[in-house]
Amino acid sequence: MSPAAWVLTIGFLLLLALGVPIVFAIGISSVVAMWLLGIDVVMLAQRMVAGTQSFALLAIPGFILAGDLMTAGGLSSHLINVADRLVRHVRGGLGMVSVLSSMFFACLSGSAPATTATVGSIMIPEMEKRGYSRRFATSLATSVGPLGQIIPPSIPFIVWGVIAEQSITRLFLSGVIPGVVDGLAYMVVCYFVAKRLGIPKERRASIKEVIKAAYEAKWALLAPVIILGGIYGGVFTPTEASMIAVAYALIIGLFVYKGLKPSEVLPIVWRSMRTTAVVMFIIAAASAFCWLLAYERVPARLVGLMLSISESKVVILLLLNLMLLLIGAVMDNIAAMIILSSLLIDLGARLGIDPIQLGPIVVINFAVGMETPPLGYSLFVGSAISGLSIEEIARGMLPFFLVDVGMLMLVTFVPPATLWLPKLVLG
Amino acid sequence: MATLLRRLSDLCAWVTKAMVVLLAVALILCLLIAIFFRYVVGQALSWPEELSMLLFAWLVLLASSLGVREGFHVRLTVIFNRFPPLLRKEMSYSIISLIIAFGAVLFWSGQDLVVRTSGNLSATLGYPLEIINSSAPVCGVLIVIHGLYRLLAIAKGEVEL
Amino acid sequence: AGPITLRFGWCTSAGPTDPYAIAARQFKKALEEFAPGQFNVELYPNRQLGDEKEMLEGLSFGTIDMAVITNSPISRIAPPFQVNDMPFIYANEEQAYRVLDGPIGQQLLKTLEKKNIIGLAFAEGGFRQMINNVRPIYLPKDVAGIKWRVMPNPVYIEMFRALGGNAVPMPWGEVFTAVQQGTVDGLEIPIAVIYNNGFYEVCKYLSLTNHTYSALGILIAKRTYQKLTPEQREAVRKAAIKASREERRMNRQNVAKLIEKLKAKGMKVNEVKDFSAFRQKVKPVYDKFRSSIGEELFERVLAEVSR
Ligand code: NA
Ligand code: NA
Repeated sequence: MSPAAWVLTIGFLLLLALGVPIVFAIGISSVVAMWLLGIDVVMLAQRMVAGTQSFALLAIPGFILAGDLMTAGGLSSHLINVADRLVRHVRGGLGMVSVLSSMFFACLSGSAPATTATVGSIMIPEMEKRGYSRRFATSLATSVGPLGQIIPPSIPFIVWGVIAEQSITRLFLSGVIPGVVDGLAYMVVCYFVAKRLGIPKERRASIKEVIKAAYEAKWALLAPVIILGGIYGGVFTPTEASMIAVAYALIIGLFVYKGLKPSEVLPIVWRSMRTTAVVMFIIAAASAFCWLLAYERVPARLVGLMLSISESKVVILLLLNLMLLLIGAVMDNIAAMIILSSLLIDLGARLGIDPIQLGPIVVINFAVGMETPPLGYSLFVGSAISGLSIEEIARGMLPFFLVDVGMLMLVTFVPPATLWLPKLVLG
Repeated sequence: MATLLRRLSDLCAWVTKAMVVLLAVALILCLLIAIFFRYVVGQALSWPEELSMLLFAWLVLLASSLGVREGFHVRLTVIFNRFPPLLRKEMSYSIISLIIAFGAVLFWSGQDLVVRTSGNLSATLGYPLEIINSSAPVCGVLIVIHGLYRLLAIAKGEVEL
Repeated sequence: AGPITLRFGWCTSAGPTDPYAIAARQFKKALEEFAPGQFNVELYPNRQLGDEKEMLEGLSFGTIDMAVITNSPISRIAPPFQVNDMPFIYANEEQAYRVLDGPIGQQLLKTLEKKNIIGLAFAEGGFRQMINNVRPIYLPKDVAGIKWRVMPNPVYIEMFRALGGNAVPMPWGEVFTAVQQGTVDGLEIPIAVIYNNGFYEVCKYLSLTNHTYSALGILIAKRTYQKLTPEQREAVRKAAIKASREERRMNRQNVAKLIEKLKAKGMKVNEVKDFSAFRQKVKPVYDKFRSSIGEELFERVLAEVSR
């Protein structure tokens, strides 16, 4: 490898480990590599501006803002009410409510930390009141976060669609079955944990109560219908859907549920744009970094290396999963996805994996990385809400993590799990 | 000098934040207008796509510069936190200095980009590319200003990094 | 010193029938023939070095060495190139070759030198055609009332407006799904793209409208070019010209084969007989871009194609 290639790999990781913010670790190692290669430094600014210039990426601020507005406006808590009436009479019901409501919320939000924040801030205190340990409640809220980006809409799927030039609508659909399977498996875990802790069932909600909750939540329930219906019905693109979601959340929050005060709107806009900036600045800087990786042909060399380890597709796929999980555990998932993209696309093509299946393999591995220590936004949010240390949450998360690994195997080795639904809906 | 720097950083932050919110609102309106014209009026507009991309570039680069001031860019702290406090302070200085250096390079690179692409036009609207490319040097300058402010804050023990 | 490395980029795939990839590979081959052992041409397909706008900037900065780039983005840094994108300006390939390989083509390529880029030759992406699900296009009136996805480029938007169609600019990644679900009724693309992306599965009619001839520039960075010896420069120029001629020949063969394949896949293919009716209709587009192309150049092209 050339000195520049060392800077881009080992130098970058060293900066990251020493605590330099990811985006600057990317930027600084890129600048040094440019200097070593004698590349005009004007490329830094050119790549960073270019990195923001994809229409599909506009869905990122859209879905982040929509999620924030729905939480502030009371749409999210209405959804949790409905979930609560539906499953609270089952053993472990309250845990299941967390899972179910996060699945509802996942249909509105495209990000893992937003899902953990919404579900966790409401459910952790409730679960503690009824005999669950804080550790379990927090681990659960952290673990369900990634469902937000496995079940559509999903920001990582948008980013992957942009990089791999695949239809985002198809990619969205590919995440539905893995997301639902994962959620159902989480519910089973909740059942067994509740049984072990001896937590009693709650009174079953009457049909009338269920209908009442659903009726009160009708505007909130309509939101996923509009967003997903619009996308899959071909009415609008995912980017446009995100803006419709913003408008809808604003109107319902301000005038129907009235949970949102007009004075709160602009501060919420700023907060969402801050989150957007965190993600997008990494995307912009990674655009310079990736250009250099391609220029130095690093991904092609790494693919060659991986393919030389084993001939077997199964072994390579297992290695790929392991590699993605490990990288996801120490890196921000968007940055990791972009940096590895050309390597992954290359590898997928050589192994003959359908590009629409490759998307979920990559995205879901990194989604699971959102909950695994040391670096995962969902984990940080869970820790911030509960006050528990990352180590403690991580220990409580083990059963859920095992469920996730099972789901990853399903995604990797059973193509219909991801390919059947897009084919069914879009042909 | 220190108070001057602090005031400069405060002012830049305030203006930037206001700009970011304005850009976000304009961006959303721009896309909603596009949808309205396509589905309600039945005549697609050609300008919203490229205009929204222009707004987005500025939004991202402006908002990100504030991340240096407010320390909201994500980083790995597992190893950092294991070091003794004194060493951590030294490391914080080094990290912020690196960030300031990066800001300076981005400024230099960005003004060079503006100069060397001047006269080129955008794909759809045909606006001069200086309008979008100047977001990079502006971001670079803001990173330097807020980075210096942050150094000061660390020295006073107000923040760790 | 060892061989000189030339980093050569383009935006599409490295597939065997991809026009950009053919041009790049043919250039590599021809250069080895004209200057054996002196160059090492490294190929970067799939936007690895950036999209076309960014590669153009990279060429002018001297950060990449060579690229094959579509005419339309080139026209954003050198407006006279817009003449090649004027709808229905070339009735067939021979007319295009006459213009592009003659003094007018040389004059166009020269305009890039201000941007520190040396234009070497024109390869081709072939004519762009209309595909849709409403009706076959024989006459301008058939275009009207159909929702067309267009490239985000003012020439294309104006062209469909002039013909009475509804032009919807849309990012490429969503186009297939959008056609399938009827968000748009059709689009305009070269034959090879129709086939390689499976549009025959979702589109019924292919009308050979030949509305825009897609010229591709084979370009080299001035910074790179100036480092070469006069003999090496000559070899690079000759290799680019040879590559462009080979690529055109192969591309036309491929297109003819692909049209037959598309018919076999069930697309209803029709030819357009009356190009003059279309040319009449798009007159306003010519008038609109006449001044930015340059009056004198535009007249010379019009004279050349009406010979
Ligand atoms: Na989601
Ligand atoms: Na992680």
